[in-house]
Amino acid sequence: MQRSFSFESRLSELGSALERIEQLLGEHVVESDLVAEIRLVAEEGMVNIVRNAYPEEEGDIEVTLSVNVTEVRIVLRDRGRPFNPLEHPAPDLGIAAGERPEGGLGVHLIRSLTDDRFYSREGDENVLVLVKRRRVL
Amino acid sequence: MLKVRLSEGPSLTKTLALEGRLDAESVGILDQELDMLLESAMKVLVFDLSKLEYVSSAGLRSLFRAQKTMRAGSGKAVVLNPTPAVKKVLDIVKAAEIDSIFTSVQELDRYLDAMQKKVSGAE
Repeated sequence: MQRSFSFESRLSELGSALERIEQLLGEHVVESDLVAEIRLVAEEGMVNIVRNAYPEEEGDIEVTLSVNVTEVRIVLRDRGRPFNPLEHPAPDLGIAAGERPEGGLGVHLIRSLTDDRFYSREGDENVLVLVKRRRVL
Repeated sequence: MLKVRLSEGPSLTKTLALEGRLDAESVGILDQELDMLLESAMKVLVFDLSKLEYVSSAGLRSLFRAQKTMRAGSGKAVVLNPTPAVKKVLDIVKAAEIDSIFTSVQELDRYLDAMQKKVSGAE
């Protein structure tokens, strides 16, 4: 299964985009704990685009969701300024949570909750691919 | 969406019960509550997460901000009864200092009692 849709890069639009992803995953009987984690990494990816790829103007974010027996793959595409969220250094988890400078948390969650992740710049697009493997019985 | 319910306990302990999702869209609701709350007198701020289904980095930042503010005022922010999904996220970002996540109200009450005794013992 593969579905694509676009939405405007605004925090207020994230909710319905994420609901749509959850709904599509539900239609394909994806395990519920996986659905929650996919929603989370998708949110983190989208927030990064809103903040860093389109910091001043708005543009579209294109979501492509692929589900098969072994994995769920989400591709986020945007036409904002070149920005690779995966390059963000890991937060220093040695510092107590309340004392850490902000930033990096979202990317850390993406790294921890995906099995594979890739970034590429294709023409004028940022392309972020997030992969979660399904449980194979 | 997010629902936030505040209750006050004895000895300047306040509890914020969060219900639903704490994400980039709903974090403003918590921040509004925290802005007011963090200015009031409090020794322990309890985040009751037993009905919180989901937390993302936006929500974590608010929780950390609260923790930082409480510590600056010689208080503590603690977490009560996170759901497995939320606990997994907290563990990933190492938000848990071992004594700050409680899985039952009884456990939390024992902790608060012990803290009380320490304080009155020192006087």
